[in-house]
Amino acid sequence: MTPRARSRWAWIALVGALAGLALPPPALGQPLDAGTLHAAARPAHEADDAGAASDPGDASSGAPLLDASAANARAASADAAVSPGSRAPPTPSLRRRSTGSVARVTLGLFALLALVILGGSPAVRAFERRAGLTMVIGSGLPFLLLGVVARRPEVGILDDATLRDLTPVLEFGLAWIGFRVGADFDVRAMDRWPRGTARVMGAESACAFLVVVVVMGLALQAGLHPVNAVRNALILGACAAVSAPTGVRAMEAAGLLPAGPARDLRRVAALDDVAGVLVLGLVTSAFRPAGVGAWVLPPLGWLFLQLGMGVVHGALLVSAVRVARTANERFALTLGAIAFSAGMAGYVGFSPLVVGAVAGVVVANLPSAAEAGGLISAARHRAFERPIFMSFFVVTGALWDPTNRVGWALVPVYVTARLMGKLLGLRAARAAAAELAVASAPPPSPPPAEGAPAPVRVGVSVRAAWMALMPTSAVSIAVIVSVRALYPTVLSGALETVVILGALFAELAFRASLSLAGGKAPEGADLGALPIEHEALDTPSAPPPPPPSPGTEPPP
Amino acid sequence: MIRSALLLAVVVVLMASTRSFLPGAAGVGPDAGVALGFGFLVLAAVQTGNLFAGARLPRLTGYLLCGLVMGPDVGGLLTPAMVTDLRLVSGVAIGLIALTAGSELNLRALRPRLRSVLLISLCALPLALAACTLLAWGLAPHLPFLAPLVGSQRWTAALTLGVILASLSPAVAIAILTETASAGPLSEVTLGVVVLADLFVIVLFTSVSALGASVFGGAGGAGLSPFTSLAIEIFGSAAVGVLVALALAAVHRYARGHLALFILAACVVTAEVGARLHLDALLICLTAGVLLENALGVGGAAISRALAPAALPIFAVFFALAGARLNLHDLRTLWPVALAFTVARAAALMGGARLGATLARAEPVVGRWGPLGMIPQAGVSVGLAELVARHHPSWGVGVRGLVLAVVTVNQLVGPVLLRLALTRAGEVGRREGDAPEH
Repeated sequence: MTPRARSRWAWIALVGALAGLALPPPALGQPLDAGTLHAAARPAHEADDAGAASDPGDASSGAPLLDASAANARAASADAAVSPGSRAPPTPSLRRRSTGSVARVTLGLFALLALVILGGSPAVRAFERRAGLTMVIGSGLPFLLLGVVARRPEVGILDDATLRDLTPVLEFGLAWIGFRVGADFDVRAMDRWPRGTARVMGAESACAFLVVVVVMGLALQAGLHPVNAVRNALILGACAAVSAPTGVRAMEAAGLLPAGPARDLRRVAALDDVAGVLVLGLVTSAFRPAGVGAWVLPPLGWLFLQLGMGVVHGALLVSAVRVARTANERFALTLGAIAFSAGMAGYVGFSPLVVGAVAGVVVANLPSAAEAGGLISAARHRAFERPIFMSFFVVTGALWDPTNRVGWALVPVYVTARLMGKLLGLRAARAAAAELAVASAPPPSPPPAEGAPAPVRVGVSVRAAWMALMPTSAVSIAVIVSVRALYPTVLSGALETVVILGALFAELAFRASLSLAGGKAPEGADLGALPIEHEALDTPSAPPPPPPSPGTEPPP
Repeated sequence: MIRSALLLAVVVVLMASTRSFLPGAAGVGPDAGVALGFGFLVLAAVQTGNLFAGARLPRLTGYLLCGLVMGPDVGGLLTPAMVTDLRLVSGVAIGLIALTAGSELNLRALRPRLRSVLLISLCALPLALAACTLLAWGLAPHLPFLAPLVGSQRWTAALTLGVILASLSPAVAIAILTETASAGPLSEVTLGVVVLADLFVIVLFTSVSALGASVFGGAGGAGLSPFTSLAIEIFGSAAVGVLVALALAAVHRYARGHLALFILAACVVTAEVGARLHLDALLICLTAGVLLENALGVGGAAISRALAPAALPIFAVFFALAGARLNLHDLRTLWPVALAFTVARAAALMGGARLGATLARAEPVVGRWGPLGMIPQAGVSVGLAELVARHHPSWGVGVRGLVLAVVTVNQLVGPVLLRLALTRAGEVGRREGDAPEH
């Protein structure tokens, strides 16, 4: 079987498995209720969202419904759970199990962790390349599926108690992903990028955002879930705005994109992650849970506080790493600083993703570029990083309820709106910058003005660029997981389903488009790892940047 | 030191300001309390450890004091829920400590000192057991939780208290030996004694539990006899330890680059599943470590090297959590009694260790400084006291309070004394390819 065929079968298996998990509706709600764990630790302030659960749209979801009294009861039990001495003991489910069952769980948990660890090893990645499975594995979706399966009652590897112990991985993973996203935002490197890159990125992500916000807002307002429709539409818009660089890499490997434009598009894909995080920051500042906490601030005050928290954590990370005297201490303090920022953000109701991203921006833009690079590479402890991402996906999968039918119903609308938005955005970018060539073939490149950075030349048709930016960045999953943690309602479960399945279908749409376009990735092509693991944006093979010339305007 | 102090101050201010948002609660995010507590403890404990290292004191004491000062009883920066929710870190740390301890026990190298280890253990433990039991029996009329008991009940309760207080702390010993990169006769004997003592205490405690069940009635768990429970705990843990060792040896052979992560994964699984199966995570990982070092050819050095990056944050948080759990309320209430038990225990352990060393004709350095290494006391005592409180609430709760008070003193004093002994014995920094952390 060729790698291409293996890849196709892998995708079919993935989709089939997801559909299989979603089919049995009835009793799954209880054990798979993704809100249970989160809501079990919620204070009473989430009653604002509880009303949303009474919406008829959820009545068929199979998940247990929340009403205000139920939410308050949960909140009360949560308060009891965190009060000194009254913490509920771990679910003693294992004690009731047979020896065989316990052995299965033990071996299963160990196997799960082994898969997570080995998922990042060079040997496994080489196997992925040989087998043509890079994009399937690299999307992170199989690990998400692994989490869903491990959580199934009949499998029972991740029971309530184990999951409760592992869920801090989510907070930590969010801050880590945020840090990675922010660390790509090095203004010095961006100065060397072709002019107009930000404009292309702004247009394509803003249009996708706006189209999804309008379409999904209307869909939600029309009756699916009118409560907090604006907030939820904004969140979906943020998830839609981000693109993964894997599509660009795949098209480049398949010979559908020349190297130069592919590099520019990868930069666009990396940069638009920031847009999604930014929107999330605005949402979590503007839509605060009412009456929670001792601080009273206007929305702009919360935004200022959120940004300030990120800046402080960036500075703290720099200080901590500077104080460290050994590599081990540096790693410990980096770990501690990122966990601290995750915890601090979550404690006051911000997203760890946003705070981590701001911290990453601060670190990446230190006056000394060499020091910034050293700090970032110190923070990216390779041996631990990928397992953290994989664990993040596993726990996310375990907390996700794939049986949410409202989510399934919204997926086609979301995917279509997102793809249309991307297409409109790329057309708008071409119109605005007049730098996006219409022809399929790359045009002869005009010599740039002496001393000026070359303008961005995507150098491919809008259709090709649209295709390349189809896959969704895993940052979208991070955004929705973050939202889930902050607004844990049945509706958030639906949004989670929309975004996760949307990412899956976007990948499928991309694969189909790639096949139709006649592209074929060469055997052994490295399409990268997880979409959040960007390759260095300015690779050594890239031509050396021309000296900056601030006075030169880009040609029309 | 100034940088560390400044960083510590900044972290504390940030934590205090964050906690002012929701005083007493766990936070808005569902797991924020855990992440916040973990991150705060890593940053604060490591800096406190640095400050203590600068003052020529054990980092471990710094971690403990950091937890104590920031914990629910004193500073209140950590909530009880945060301390409870970080149990996985504690479980993983216990596994790591035991695995490291086991892999440091090279039986071939220890053979010449086996006699010393056995005789010191056989002299020190029974003496401490006898001293604490007799003291408890003697003070029983003045202790509100023992006074109502009479006859055999009082003797059984006193014996239970004696067994719990006789336990040592492998975790503290290993941490100090690792921190100071010590090697030599005193280090080997201390390690051997604390590990052996742990086994003895577990076996003794189970026997005393059986006695307690017959005297008081109703104790014991899961419908099993105490001896069956003991057999399951010891042999089951050893069997699981063998499996863990085989798995890790395979990883070392075929995926050496991932050894650290697999060890962490093994510790996570052990912590998650072991406790719920009534298996002892310490015994599981100790068995695995001993097998890896002595039978499977994975040296302790390879394990230490692989774990080095992950060990610091986990150990710092583990000991800071131990500090946060120390009960100052009990210490304030029971301090005269606790002091009496602390002195009696220390005197008996040190006298027994000196006697054992003399009988074994151990190296002079072991006889002279070895007794100081017997003082640390930590998790085993607390865990056993919890069991007693659960099974015999009428008097066990009081026993738990007294044990916590004694452990508080020994936690703070023990590491300092052990480090002093190693320094005076000239063994600090003598481990090959390793250097003390300050």
